[in-house]
Amino acid sequence: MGNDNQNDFKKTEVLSESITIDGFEEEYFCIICGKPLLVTSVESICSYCGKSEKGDYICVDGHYICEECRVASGEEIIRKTCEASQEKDPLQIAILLMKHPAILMHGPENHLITAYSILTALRNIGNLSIGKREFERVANRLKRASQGICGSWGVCGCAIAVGAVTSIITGANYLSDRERSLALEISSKILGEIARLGGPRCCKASTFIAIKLAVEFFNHKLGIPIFISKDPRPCIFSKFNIECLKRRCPNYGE
Amino acid sequence: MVNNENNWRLLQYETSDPKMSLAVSEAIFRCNRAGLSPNTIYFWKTSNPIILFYSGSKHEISSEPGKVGEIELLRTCGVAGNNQFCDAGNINFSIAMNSKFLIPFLEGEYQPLLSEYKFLLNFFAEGIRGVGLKVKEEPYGIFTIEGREIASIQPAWIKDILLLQGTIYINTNLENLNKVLKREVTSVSKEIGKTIKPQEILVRIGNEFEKKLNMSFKKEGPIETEQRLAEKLYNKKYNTEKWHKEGKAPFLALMGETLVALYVANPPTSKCRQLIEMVKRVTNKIMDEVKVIVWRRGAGVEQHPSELMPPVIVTLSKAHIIPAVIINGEVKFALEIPQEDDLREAIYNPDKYPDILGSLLKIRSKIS
Repeated sequence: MGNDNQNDFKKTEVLSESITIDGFEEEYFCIICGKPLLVTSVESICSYCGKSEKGDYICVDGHYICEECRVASGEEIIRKTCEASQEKDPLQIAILLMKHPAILMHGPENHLITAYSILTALRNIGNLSIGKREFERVANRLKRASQGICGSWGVCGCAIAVGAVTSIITGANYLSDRERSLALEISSKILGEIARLGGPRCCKASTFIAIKLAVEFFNHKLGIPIFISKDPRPCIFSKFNIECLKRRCPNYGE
Repeated sequence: MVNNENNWRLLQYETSDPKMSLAVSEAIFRCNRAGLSPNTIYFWKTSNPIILFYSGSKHEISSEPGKVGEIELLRTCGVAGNNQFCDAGNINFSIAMNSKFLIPFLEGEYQPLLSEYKFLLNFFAEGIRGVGLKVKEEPYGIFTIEGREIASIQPAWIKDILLLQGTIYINTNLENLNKVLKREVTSVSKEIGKTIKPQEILVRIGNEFEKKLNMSFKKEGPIETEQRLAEKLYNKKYNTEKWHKEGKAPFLALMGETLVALYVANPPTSKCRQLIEMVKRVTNKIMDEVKVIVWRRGAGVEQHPSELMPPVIVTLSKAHIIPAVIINGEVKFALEIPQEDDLREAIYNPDKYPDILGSLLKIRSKIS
């Protein structure tokens, strides 16, 4: 992962295994890998935004999260992480973002994650010219994909996200021919797959479907060498989702 | 731990004040959750006519919460079910129990929560059948074969612990009832055409419980902790207009202590740590009266499985307002570290400090 674990834990000077604040002893765990956090004071690089600062808690795998990122909103963490990321696998970018506490199990932040993860990977692959402007354009378009749009409009925001990314990278608009068809084709494929999965909605499953199909599509139809390194199965978010589809979902695994 | 499936108490407690009966019901519920009290059934009466409603059921009352003539409208801690009209002709009951104990007894297709309600209502339905009336139990009440409601319930939950508050219309003044309630309700005496001694039905209900759950009730009064808690709940919640009219009451810790919840980043930032440190200093000498819980962002309710999470934390989480100090359910300080004297004063006298959630949300919406 690009900015996932740039800190070498072995080089850090670990002060203690937990922190005691006047009797309030708390043990903390890494939100990225779940391993216990240790107290440190060495310069550490944030696993989200890539900022370097004097660290306080770091895990044995070298994950560190800067103070700003710990209190960031969903939109902030998505923007900052994608700006700094060197990762070329959109699914890994999405999963890192989903682990952040600002990203709720369900909700429109997952639409932005879908779009930004794909755009970030496309930018890092280097075949296309993708800059701040493209990210801003997709974010503006996605503002219209509100919470629960899947149920109320019959269109999932994750499918809209991939449609918008496709339109932006191909320069499609409503007068275009092939470009417009490509955007419609990928969105409809994603919607079909999400519909087949059934409900209640799972914004994580929809994001995974959207990214996987987008990757296949960009490879085959646009010749972009984008890839996914590993499957999201078993889904680590299942235990936090009271409406998890469990065995009905291809990502579910004990 | 007194809470096991064979340990059942028939609570002996009399009061003429229905608000105190509601306080006692919530106290036995909380103490059961804390493992201090056994499964309990509490029968109580009211001489004054009252309507018992819960926050989601106001639409069924043809008046705003308050008083309609002589009928007082009282808010329970229920979360579902039907409104209840109670007068001297009713038998009111509260059951506080661990619902896990019911699992071996549940038969047929299991419907979460509803199966438990229906199972417990069966005991009351048997009591009514015993005086010769044909009735059927549904998840939220007991009905005559023709579909007229004759008993209603309002459940509430803390994890697996169920509080089932209900009433049976025995010799109820239906004329009075129909003035305020929009639903059609009947009474046992109306259906069978004669006045019934409530005791007759009560004994049958008790027998049904003992027979089907294979246990014997112990007739006991409330334990000291329950009494203390009931008094606190009475003073801070059930005897206040704010609760009955606006649904607002302090969100106290399980055993009634002042609840100071800190909402912090995970792991805490330096600001969050300063705040935790300050709260510890301030509460050091009053630890018996105050409960301090640190809630870490994104770690969910499971980080403190035995504690009550103030609902406002969900709002703070969505609005990414961190850190925050929540006292008795109200946000008193957020985003910045308060002055230590202000924090101390707010913990000692929460009512002196306003809930700043509304203004925080306004600021957040302006920024975004």
